[in-house]
Amino acid sequence: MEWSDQAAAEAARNGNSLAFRALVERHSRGVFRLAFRMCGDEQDAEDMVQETFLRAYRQLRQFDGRSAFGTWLHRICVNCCLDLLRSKKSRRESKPALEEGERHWLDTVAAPAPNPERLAESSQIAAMLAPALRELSDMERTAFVLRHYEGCEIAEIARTLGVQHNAAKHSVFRAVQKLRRALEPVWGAAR
Amino acid sequence: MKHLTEEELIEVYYREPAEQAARHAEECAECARRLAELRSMLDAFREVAVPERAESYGTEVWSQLAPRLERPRQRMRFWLLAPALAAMLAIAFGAGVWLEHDRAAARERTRERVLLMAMSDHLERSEIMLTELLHADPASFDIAGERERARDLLSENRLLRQSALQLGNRPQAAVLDDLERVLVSLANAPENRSADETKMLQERVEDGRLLWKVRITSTNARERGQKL
Ligand SMILES: [Zn+2]
Repeated sequence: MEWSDQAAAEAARNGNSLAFRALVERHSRGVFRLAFRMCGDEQDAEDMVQETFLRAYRQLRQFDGRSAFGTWLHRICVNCCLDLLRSKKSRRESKPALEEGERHWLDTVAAPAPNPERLAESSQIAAMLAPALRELSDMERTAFVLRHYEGCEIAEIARTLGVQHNAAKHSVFRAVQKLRRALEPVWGAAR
Repeated sequence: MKHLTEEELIEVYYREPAEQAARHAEECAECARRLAELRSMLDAFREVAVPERAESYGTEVWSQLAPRLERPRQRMRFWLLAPALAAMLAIAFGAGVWLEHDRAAARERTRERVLLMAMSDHLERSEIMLTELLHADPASFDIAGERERARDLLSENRLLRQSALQLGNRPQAAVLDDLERVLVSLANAPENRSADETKMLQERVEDGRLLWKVRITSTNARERGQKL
């Protein structure tokens, strides 16, 4: 049986676990992609997928269908990832260096493109982008991921972050600006 | 002719409504070049791939998730919490004076954990309410439905703020104080509250970045509570 998101959420809220299962199966890959963009680590992203659906399950009663289920879910995912990034940051402060072998932002890149030159270029970009993204504030990074990769409108980003329209817009702007500054010196050479 | 600022170029790249800027980028060779440069970099970011997940990924996620789902849990009711909080306040005054030292410390830890978990729970619910407020269309916002919820949260909030002050946690108390102002407005809102008033309240929440602060404070409280 094919549930619409709306119908499945409604049924899940009334305790139908098959309906919740349908939602999990439908949205897992999208949530994973978002979590990976946010955390930059495959294992963390996997954990955040679990955490997102757990929270969503507990908060189902608060889902009122005013926004699409996917949007609501992505908002929860962003919050889970922000919590994780923050707790990592506070742990890092007591332990300055990154752990050896800790796989980070796009250090491992799966490239779907068959062309080897393209692959090389994409890993090169990934290698340059990774540290630059880590330098962004949580808010800048969230705003950038939502704008650039998820295609969210500024208004939606503002709601997710709980800030004014202009603040959200400015976060995207600052993120792009910082990434450019960080990458420009290597960018020219790499082209 | 004035060239486009970096911010305008970014707006044009993301196709935000900036007609004038977009037109300028088409007509001015210099800005067209700068836009192309920006575009090549930002487009390249998009090509950096995310590790692939198979079609069956959702089923794998579910098999791990299913055993972890309980039936939606009943919230700890406030009246169950109140005695613990009241005791917490008393102990904050008298700790160590009349209890034997070790036992006092253990009790204090337990009470602090209760308080932190209650705090996190309270803030989590407030966060949901603030999110809904921010998302609401001011013209059709159902204030009557929110009023009762706001009143519940308000009485909890007062007690928690007091506890935070007693324990000398000023940042926490400050966030609760900000939150309290919003809860008061909601709890006392008249039936015929105008759309403008709702809009003003939304702006106040946004300007003060209240949702952001509530979220961070809630996570902190939960993490600290789990460590105790
Ligand atoms: Zn120009």
